[in-house]
Amino acid sequence: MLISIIRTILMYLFVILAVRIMGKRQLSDMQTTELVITLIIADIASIPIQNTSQPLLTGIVPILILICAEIFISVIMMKSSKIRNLICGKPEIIISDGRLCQRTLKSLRMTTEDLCVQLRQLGAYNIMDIQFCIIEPNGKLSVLLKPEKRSPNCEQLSIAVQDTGIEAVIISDGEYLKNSMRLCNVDKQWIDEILRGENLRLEDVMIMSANRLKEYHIIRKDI
Amino acid sequence: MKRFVIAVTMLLFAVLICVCEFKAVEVTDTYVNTLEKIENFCKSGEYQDAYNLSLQINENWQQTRKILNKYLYHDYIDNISVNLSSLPIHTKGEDPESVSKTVEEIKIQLASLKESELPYMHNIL
Repeated sequence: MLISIIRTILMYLFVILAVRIMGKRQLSDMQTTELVITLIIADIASIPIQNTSQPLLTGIVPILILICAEIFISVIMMKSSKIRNLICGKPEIIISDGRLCQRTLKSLRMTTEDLCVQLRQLGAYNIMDIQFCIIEPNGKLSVLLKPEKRSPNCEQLSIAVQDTGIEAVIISDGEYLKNSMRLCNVDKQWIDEILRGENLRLEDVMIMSANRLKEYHIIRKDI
Repeated sequence: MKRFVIAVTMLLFAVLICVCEFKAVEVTDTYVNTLEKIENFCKSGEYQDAYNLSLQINENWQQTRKILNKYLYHDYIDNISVNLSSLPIHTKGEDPESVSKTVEEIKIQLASLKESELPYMHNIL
């Protein structure tokens, strides 16, 4: 049993390392290759954990090879659009200029109900409001509404909006977050001054967020 | 580019493991030779020499199995260990038939161990 525990911990750490090496793409929208790799890694990793008579290397080496294959394929796909289309497929237009492309829908084996469900999830409740709808290689829909149905933006409404930058959390659970501090251009000294002004200690702060204009919000820890 | 370098390094590491495995499995040839010597000693009635050699081969195998266990299924190695451990009993009992039978069994197991790791089509499929 101890062997199983040690193997499980080793395999867990190794799979985390594997996913980290494969990059952030792996964690978000999965392409065909990434989905395949993830499924196979999950399966391979579980076998040496369950079967202690199997060397751990028989699990580690195939995962190493899969990581290499994934990285090599992604580099090749970056260089060649032909190979990218071959492996990942290409975006397909389902609604073009407000017209539903029924043939494409049929070739994708997608029912109108499936389409409507996905459109509703994107906030498009009326199919007649859509000018373009594209199914991306990762299976997600991208929608462009007809011009008269689009929300106007500040530029179109001639409204001047102050650029506050990103509102980032600079203290989380009593700890400074240095990356966020850099992002909104504040330093420790400024934060300490604010905390002194609010009569707070660092340990008393649950969340403190700020933006580039030095506007801030503080949520205290519950006592 | 950084990931590409990591991928190449990993590939080289995987290849290195394969090479180490082949090298480790090659040691089975030495065992086959020793087993033949034990068999010959028994045939010529030199049972004490056969017994000493069978003790020696068991001792060596304990070291080898630690290395082989890293690369090969432990069950295969254990089966060979069981057969090897019966050799001193047969040689001490001066039973040439049992010695020959056990030696043949171990030789087949060692050959299968070595052959199973070679990249032949029948092994791949």
